[in-house]
Amino acid sequence: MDEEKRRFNPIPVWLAVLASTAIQIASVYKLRQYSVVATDTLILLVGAFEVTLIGAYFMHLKFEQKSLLAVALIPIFIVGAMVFGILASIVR
Amino acid sequence: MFLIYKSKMGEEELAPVVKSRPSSQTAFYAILAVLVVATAVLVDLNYGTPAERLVFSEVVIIWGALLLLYFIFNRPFIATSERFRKTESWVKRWLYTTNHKDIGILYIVTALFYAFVGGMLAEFMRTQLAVPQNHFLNPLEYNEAVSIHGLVMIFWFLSPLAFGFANYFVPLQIKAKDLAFPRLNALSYWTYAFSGLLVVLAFFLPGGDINGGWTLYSPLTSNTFMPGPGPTLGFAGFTLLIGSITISSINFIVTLVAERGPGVTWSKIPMFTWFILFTVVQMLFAFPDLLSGMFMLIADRLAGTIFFTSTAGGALLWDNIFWFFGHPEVYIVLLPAFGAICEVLPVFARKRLFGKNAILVATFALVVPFSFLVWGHHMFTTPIPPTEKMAFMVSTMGISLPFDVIVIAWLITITGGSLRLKTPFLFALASIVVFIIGGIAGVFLASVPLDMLFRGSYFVVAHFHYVMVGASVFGLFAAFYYWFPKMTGRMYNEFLGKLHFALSMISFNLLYFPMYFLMDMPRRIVTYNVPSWTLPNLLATIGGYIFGAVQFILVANFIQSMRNGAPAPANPWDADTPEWEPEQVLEEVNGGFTTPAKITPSLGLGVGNSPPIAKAPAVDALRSAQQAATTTQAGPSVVVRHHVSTRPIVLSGGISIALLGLAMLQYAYLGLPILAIGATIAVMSIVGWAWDDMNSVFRIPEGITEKWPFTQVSRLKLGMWSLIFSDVILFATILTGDAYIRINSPTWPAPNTLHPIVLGTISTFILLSSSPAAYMALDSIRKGSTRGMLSWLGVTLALGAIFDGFEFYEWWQLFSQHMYPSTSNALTTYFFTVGIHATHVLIGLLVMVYLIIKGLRGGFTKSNHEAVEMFGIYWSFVDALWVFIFAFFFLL
Repeated sequence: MDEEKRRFNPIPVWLAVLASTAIQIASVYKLRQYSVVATDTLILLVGAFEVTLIGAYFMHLKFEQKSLLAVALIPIFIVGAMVFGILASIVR
Repeated sequence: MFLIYKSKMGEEELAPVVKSRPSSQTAFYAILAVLVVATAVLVDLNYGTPAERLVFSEVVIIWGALLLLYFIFNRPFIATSERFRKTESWVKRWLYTTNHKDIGILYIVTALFYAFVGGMLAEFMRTQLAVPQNHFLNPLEYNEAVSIHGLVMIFWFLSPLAFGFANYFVPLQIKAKDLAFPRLNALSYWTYAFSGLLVVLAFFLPGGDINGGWTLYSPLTSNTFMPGPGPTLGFAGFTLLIGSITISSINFIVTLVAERGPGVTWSKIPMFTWFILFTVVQMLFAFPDLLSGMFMLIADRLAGTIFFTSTAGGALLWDNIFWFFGHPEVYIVLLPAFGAICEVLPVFARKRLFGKNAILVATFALVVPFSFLVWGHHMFTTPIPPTEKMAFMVSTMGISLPFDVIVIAWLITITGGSLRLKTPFLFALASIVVFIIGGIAGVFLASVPLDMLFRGSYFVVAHFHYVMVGASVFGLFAAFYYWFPKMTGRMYNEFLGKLHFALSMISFNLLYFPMYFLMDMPRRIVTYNVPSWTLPNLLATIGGYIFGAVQFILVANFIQSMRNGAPAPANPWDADTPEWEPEQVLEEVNGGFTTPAKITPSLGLGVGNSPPIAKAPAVDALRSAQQAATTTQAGPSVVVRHHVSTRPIVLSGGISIALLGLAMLQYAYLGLPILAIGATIAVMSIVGWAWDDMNSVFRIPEGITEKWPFTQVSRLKLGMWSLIFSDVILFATILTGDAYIRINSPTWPAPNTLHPIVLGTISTFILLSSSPAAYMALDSIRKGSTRGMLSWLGVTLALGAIFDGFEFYEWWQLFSQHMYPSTSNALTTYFFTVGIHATHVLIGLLVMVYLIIKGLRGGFTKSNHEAVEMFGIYWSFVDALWVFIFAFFFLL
């Protein structure tokens, strides 16, 4: 891909990542007292959003071949199987 | 192999050369290094009085200091001396080569050496079990023999043997000039070779070798049940091997995707190469899981963590981690042999391979992904939930279906064919037969109730030896005989080949088939006193002796044939795969500096119809090729460089010595100087490697691939993403293990009690701010601003260093409050996970220092800055990891 098309302004992405972190921290102080499960879920979802932003922009996946993006899904599938299988073995 | 460079400007690109040092000096320091290690080993073996050991250790430290000074001031490994470029000696050729054929042969020979080691251990075991109430081995010795036999045979023999053939033939089959990263290929080999030596050396250290079985079940591997530096060294060697395998996987994936020659589309790739691709994909995703498990295990032994010794983690956590890797490993061992069988059968049946596409689809779409979904069938006797057992039972039975497709396709291929009963074909056929027998037994073990009966008995031993030994080894023997003429230029002795086949097949079945009848005999007992077990055990032992002895027929046949065998035709089997095509002496040369020509033949032991090595030494062939190259190229600007490097072997040696010292730290003060010496050698080698890159001493062009599906993606980027994929699995395993322990722990500190959120927030903001800084560095150099790039790299470096500083500060705070990794489950997971992440950050910082130095020397331009981009991807990945770690330890 043309190098010019791979350029972007990193400041908005950076601010979005920092703001997401701030939301995570605020939720610990403000939401956790009401529901631990909801707070933890929110923290994980916001974390996933942050990682998506970092992957898309700072790791350039947004500007890469779609095939590379597709291949990047393989470890996610494997990780999903591992997390599910291992944590499921705790259930008695 | 040579690399030939011609600069765009028509100027010679001479690499800086340091003055060669005298041989006596080299010998002196080599002897010094040997004495250091020898003395260290002697002292740690507990010779002499404590006072004598103290004197010894001081001497060792002085030697270590001398070596250190030598490395610093004499720079033996920083620059590649002129002498190293003249790889005219036989020894240097094999020590420093990066040629894929040479490395393939090194893999094969080394794998056979480790087969001998593992085979001897097997003979010891069979001798012990030959008769009831035997005392040939004591229980500890027997356990060591069982454990190391299993580990060595699987990890240092079977897979490496397959990768010997893969190194040699995959580039030929896809018409590539070499693997994508030849130096990394050499590094993979040497780390593999040294890692095995570490495991063997562990036998002679206090505590002996690993003795908890090849599955390393916890808590048998803890300091309580397996004390001493010996087992720790064994684990360290195993960990080093996993590093080697990961590098190798990345190298093969990039090679197969990006290095295919003109016209070699995916549909034209031969079956052996396809199966190697399937294998390396599985390796890339399976081994990082085990790597994280090994890190946890070593941390338990050396750093006091309690992953596998606490009730929260313990045996079940290890079982999950090990078998998530362990079942794909079965196919990792098996698939290369299947690839070889797919090559051999149609050639000797004189028919096309039936159902090629069905085989490929069945393997890639079912075997590879499903191999990661069946690990629970190894844990049917553990207290995992019944529902999960049922799910794993179904998936395990399901994974047998694609193998049915493969076997049926093979059988149809040979049915009605005009068969040539040569040795390769016979071994391929034998592989199918024993695989069917072993596979049928495997279906029984997929059933939960039957597995409850058979698990832990000799029935299982028979099953997996039929699958892993019979099917895999016989398949690779077929490959051995099939490609021998290509590798040596000589034909093997057919009579000896058939004798080897017949005796192997008979003795193999005599060895393992009686074990199917020992379904009531526990597989981990050192002796027995049950009359009905005596005859099957005696038969198995006799079979074992014969099976071991007849393998020397193979060795004798090959040695004799290499010397006196009949000259081989270029294509003795009339095969139609590309490796049998005549190789070009000189390949296409483009004039640019970054597109060197390579001369591919001559290395390896032969090229099909060429004279054997004894009559036409490789060096002479190289010289001829060099002359051909220089006379063929126009203009005076051609510079010939040797495609060799000292870095891989020295770096691997340094790491191995460091691991020896690390293991000994557990036992004696001497571990520290050994660790320091090894680490110094390793660090200096890495510096030397960077120096080479900076000065283009060993430069492989960073080309852009035009190969579907990754058009316009560079090899370096493919390699980086492959590395990141494996690192994703590594951290996923660690965090899953952390979550497992957390859920199982009766208590867990609430947020902001153990780790202050404020401190974590500041360090998180700092690290997350470094990613845009790294991007700005890339953006600057894209615009041609070296100064801008250096400034932003400096900012990134500073932010990264401050982040690591915060992490160390928090560690310090915890230590000062007497909170250690051993204190609680929460601290075990915290110290370990943050420590692994901080190490990643540290590696990134060191890479940044390299980039800055290279940038200061004008190493990056507007059009040449790929390393900066790769660094940015890696660095941002490390940042992304921290998002989860921060949430897990500070917020949840």
